Amino acid sequence: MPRPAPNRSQEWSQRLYQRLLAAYPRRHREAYGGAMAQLFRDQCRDAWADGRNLGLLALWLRTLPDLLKTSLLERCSNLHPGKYMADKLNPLLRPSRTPVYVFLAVFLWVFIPVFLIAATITFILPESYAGTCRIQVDPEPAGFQTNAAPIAGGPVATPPPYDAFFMQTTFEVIQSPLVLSNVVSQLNLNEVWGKKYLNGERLKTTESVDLLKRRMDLRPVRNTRLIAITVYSEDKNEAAQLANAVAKAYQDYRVNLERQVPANGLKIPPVSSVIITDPAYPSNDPVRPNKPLNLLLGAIAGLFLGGVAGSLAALITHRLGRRPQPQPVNPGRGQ
Amino acid sequence: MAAVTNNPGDFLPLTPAVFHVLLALAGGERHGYAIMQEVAGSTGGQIKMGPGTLYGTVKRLLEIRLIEESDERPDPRLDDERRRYYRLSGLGQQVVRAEAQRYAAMVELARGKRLIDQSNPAHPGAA
Repeated sequence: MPRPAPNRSQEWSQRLYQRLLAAYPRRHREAYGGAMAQLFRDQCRDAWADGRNLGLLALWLRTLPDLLKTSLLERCSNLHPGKYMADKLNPLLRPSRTPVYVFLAVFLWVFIPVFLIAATITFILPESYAGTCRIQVDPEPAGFQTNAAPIAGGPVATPPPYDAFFMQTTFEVIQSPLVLSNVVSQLNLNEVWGKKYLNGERLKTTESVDLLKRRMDLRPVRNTRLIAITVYSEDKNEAAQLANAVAKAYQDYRVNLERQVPANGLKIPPVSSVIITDPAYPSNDPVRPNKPLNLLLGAIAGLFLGGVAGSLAALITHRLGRRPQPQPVNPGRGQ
Repeated sequence: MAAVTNNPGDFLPLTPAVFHVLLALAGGERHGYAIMQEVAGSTGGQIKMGPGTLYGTVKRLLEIRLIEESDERPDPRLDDERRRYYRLSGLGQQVVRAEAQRYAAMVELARGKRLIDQSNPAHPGAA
């Protein structure tokens, strides 16, 4: 009878299971690997028919502990082949509790949950995108060349005093309501974010400014007068739009400021001292959560905790094993 | 290699996984997937053996000769010819019978102690 061709989820599951069969000893794999893979293929087909992707998930939740337990038992039985027939039957329920076995068992029981928790959290967390816009900021308006030779007969420009706190001041200004409230009104964030986060209720401007500020990250670009304005959002287009809007709002702020307060009484050309060098573009790659990093940290934490717990358990087993044991009445029964 | 005995009593008691596999094969030769389905069906879905448990059990049962691989293949048009079929050996039949009788004796014992309701065996002690 023709069977329905496996879909992508089933194929992916089957490929993964084929790879996981490497956990078994080579001899066991050679003898039963094909049959096990075939059985898993059949189970995948049934699971898909039962509940689609949820069915496959349930199958994996049953299969992984089974694979973990039986691969460990096969490896242990390779290391310590049973002497009696009952020993050949009993490992499925009564594995030999050697320190090596205990270490491996406890290690895996700790490592796998820790790693799975880290992986689950990583994949459950909402993705966040970053939009980064870079601006060049000069203390004086562009075109006002402090190092240039004065034009004969013209006014002599006095260079502005060095301001050690210029960058810090700029950062604070960019994050101030003076600049961000313009972004809020320009992009109508009170309404847009109200719909998104407050069930349609309009946000106050101060709330939107506060929200925007918390999503912003400002960093100086080393050895330059560039500032990277990064804004995070669940929407990649919004992230880029916000970063560009903040840069533009600060640029406008500086233009207005320079028009109002001419430096040293000089007539300043109407050119902004803030230049947007790199506008932000929507990025397809989310920056948060950092999946490879999270998985790596989960694996490291699992290795560490599993190693500690496994070592302790193996040590205790070893010490208990050194005590004299009562002789079994019938060792052939393995009881 | 383990020493082999022909005395069925030497194998008892069986682990639940082994007993279920032997019970499934008591109905005739089956391949792995059919064994798994038979076990799941006979236990109302309570025991769903994974490939690791099933083939670990099959491997050990082959080693101690309670089951054997069948050389006969069904019609390839009816089934996948790559499947491996297993059946109870003579010793396996004796062992599963002995284990079933042991269980039956225990059930009788429990019944004598009024631990099992005659009319509703699913609810022991309800009488």
